[in-house]
Amino acid sequence: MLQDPGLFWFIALWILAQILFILVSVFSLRAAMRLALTEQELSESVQLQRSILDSAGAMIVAADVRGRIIIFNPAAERMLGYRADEVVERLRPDELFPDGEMERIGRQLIGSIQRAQSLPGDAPEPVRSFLQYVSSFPSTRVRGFEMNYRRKDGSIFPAMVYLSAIRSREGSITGLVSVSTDLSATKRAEQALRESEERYRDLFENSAEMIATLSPRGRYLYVNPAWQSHFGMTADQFESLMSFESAFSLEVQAEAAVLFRQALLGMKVEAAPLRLHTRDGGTVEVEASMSCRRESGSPVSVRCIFRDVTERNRRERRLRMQLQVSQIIGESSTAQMAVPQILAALCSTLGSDVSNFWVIDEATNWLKLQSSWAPQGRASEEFRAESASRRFHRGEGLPGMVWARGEPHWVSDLRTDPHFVRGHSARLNGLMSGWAVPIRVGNQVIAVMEFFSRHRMREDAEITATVETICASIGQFLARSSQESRVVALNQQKEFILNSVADAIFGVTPDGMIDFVNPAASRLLGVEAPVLIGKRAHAVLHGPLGSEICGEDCRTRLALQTLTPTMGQDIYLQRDGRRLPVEFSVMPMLEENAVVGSVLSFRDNSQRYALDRMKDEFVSTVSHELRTPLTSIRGSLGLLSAGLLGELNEKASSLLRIAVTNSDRLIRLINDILDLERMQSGRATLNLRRLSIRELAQQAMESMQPLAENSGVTLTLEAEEDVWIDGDPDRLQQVTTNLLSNAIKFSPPQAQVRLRIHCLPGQAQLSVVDEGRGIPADKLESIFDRFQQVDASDSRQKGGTGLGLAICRTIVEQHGGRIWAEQNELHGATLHVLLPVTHEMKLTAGPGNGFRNAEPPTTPSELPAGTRITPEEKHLEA
Amino acid sequence: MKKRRILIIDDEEDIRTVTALTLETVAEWDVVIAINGKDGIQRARQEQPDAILLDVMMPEMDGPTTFRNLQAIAETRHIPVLLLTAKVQAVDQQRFADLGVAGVLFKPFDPLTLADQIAGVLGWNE
Repeated sequence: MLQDPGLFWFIALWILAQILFILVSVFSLRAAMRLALTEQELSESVQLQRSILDSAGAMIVAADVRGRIIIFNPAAERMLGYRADEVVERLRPDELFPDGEMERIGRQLIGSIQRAQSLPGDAPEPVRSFLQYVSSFPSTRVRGFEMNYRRKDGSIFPAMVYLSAIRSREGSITGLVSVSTDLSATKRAEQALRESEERYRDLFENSAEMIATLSPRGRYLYVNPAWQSHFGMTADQFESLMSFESAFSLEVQAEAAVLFRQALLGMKVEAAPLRLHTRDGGTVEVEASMSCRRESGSPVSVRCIFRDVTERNRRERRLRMQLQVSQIIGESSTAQMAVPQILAALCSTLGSDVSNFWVIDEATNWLKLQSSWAPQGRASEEFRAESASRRFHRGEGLPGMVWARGEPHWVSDLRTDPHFVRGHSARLNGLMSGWAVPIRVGNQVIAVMEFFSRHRMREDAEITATVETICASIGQFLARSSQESRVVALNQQKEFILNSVADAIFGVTPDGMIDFVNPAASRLLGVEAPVLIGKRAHAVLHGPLGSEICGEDCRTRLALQTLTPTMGQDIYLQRDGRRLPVEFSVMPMLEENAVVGSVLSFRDNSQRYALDRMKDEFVSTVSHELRTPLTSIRGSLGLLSAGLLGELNEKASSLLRIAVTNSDRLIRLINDILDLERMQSGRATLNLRRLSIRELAQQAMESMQPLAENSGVTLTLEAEEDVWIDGDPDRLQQVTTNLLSNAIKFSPPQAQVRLRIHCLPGQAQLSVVDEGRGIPADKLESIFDRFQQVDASDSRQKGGTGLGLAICRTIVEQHGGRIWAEQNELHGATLHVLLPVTHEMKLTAGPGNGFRNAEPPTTPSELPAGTRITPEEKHLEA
Repeated sequence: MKKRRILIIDDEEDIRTVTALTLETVAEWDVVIAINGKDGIQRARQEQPDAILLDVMMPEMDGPTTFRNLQAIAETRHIPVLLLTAKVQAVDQQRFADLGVAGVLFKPFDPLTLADQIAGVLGWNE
């Protein structure tokens, strides 16, 4: 359609020109509109900036590139003491700072930038350095640093200065502006904080309490020296630990972890008891207080303060242990009861894992385990079983060593100590250390206590001293308890003896009441013991009236009344009224020299009576039966030998003389045996009279005169004075004639036999001195025994029976005297008889006269004095 | 002086013989013999001896009984009785003393002095 190309190009260019025109017009219009808007905004902005400058609390100072101060806001006026009109375009910036301050800071700022940019204008130093500094970073950034200002009055204060550049619309630097805040208050607060921190640190570092700060995860951030020294670890070692509890020994780790968690959760942990085992074997008891510091509700750190209460606890423990032990001792009657309780108390208070109690067995002289204790739930069976199976001699093993040394001993490592023999079982039960302490009574060790622990323990003098103190009271208790058990055993033994003896026994009070009866007594009397208790002893034995079977002189009653030692025979009444012949004894009971009663014992004598009767009958019968045929023999021989029935030849006469002599000897023998039996059985009692020794001697001399003459022996009486004594004349006569007859028999012809009488204070002495063959020294005593003669052939040759001196001694001793033989200067023998002037041996024993057998009143007594018929043996003696 | 007559009462024949022979030979007394208590009492009544020597241990009637019987009879009451016995025990002596006999002589005796002893007890020597 449009075929002309020229036209085409014309139209096209025309259209393009029209578009450009429109575009330019539009843009111009828009620009004009925008300019009008900017001017309005600018005026508002200036207004805003001015109000900001005026109201800002910070000091705002600005300078242009030539170093002239162009802005100085009211805050700056307040802080520096200048009016703005005194400063703006009048003062240089460096005049607002102490001398050299801007230069110093400027150097630092320049040093901190990488390369300085070229600056417009001719700003002098030191402003130039600042301008260069701010030009080095984008305008959006603000850098701050501290520097000191100088007020108009010359005073200086620190401030935080933030610098930024003032740039033109094109971006070139036209000046710089500083916004500064006064740091004086902050600095003071910082200083105070710093000082305070130093003070706290000082406090922590020197605190006796253990202080640690931990992160919420349990890492140690700070440990004070006290903490380090208690644990025996350095701060570095703590820092390397992964948890709070790993600083503690295994036993307390769980406990420590719980405390830490509680603190972390904000729970109050205050004075929680915790036991630390230090690496060197010590034990430290602490009270743990822990608190958590939080920020915005999140835990920041945990502070731990441990107070070492070991000493305080020890004091308390010592008191507690002493109290516990004294309570146990006070409440226990036997050692068997007390010891396990004591072990338990000490073991738990001392924190031991096993405690053992060894006693020294007096019979075997071995240490034996008496008791053992361990807290529940801690393995100790093997160790305790081995201990129970062991016996230790003095010096053996730990307890034996303590026994031998008498002092405590500590074993810090049971596994390696050569003296500790139970190491294997200790290892099995995880026991590490142990110690033992002796229990003494006076200087004697009687028991040993052991304590074992799973921890390594070192010797602790304080614990040792405490336990030793306690052991002293245990020792006293054991001694007392063993005495008491000995007393119990003794009482049981005494009771057993009293119950099992055949003799009846009454305990009688000083006023004569029965307060003890043994089974034999109730059996003998036929009355139950409870019925007898509290009754009057004499009334029980002799009937309620007493006089029924006894009189004024009742010896049982007298003995119980006077509390005099007495022995005798009596008749007691049985329940059924039967009379019981008894042999009784009354013994006063003394307690600390005061009479507190008496013991009356008696035994049934009826059997003895029966036996005595049988014996009497036997002796009587034998005597009679022997004498009867002897009568015929002796009579016949006597008649024949006298030649009255016709003369006999010499040999027959000689034989008859022999027969007569021997039958006489046989008769004497029978008489002597009977005599001796009667005297020694106590049935032949003395018939005492007041008699003259001289008279006695003279009578004996006279009766012996024929024998002496026959033997060609001279009898001499040497009596300077006379003494009257209490004696049985017949018996003493028997003694004297016997001694004289012996002396004559053993004296050679022409010899002298002297009968001497000596008076001594309270005593009379008869001595028969001969010049015979004497008595060998070794026979001086034995000649007084039965059938003991100097020569075995004497009885045959001298016609003696061998019983003469035995009879003499019996008679003399019955008189309370003494008879003995000695060699004399004449090479012969002297026989002495010493007799008391007053006869103390009464027929009935009186008070204070010791023991004395008395005839029972029912036994027929001897012939009354003076009516006694002389036995016929005298007729044959000469 | 009138010859003394003495009655011996003893159940033992040997004793009777020896005693009789002794008194007849040594003292030249008349001797009458009885073999037991009963016989003795009869003899005593018949013979009226100056003294009786009486054994103690005899069957049926013993010495003390015989003595009491003799004392009970008027014809024999005055005759002194001496016991001749082998019983020498204290208990026996007491019993004899209580009987009231003139004396007690013990067996065995010396035949040469027996008569003297009897005479001594009875006061015949004076």
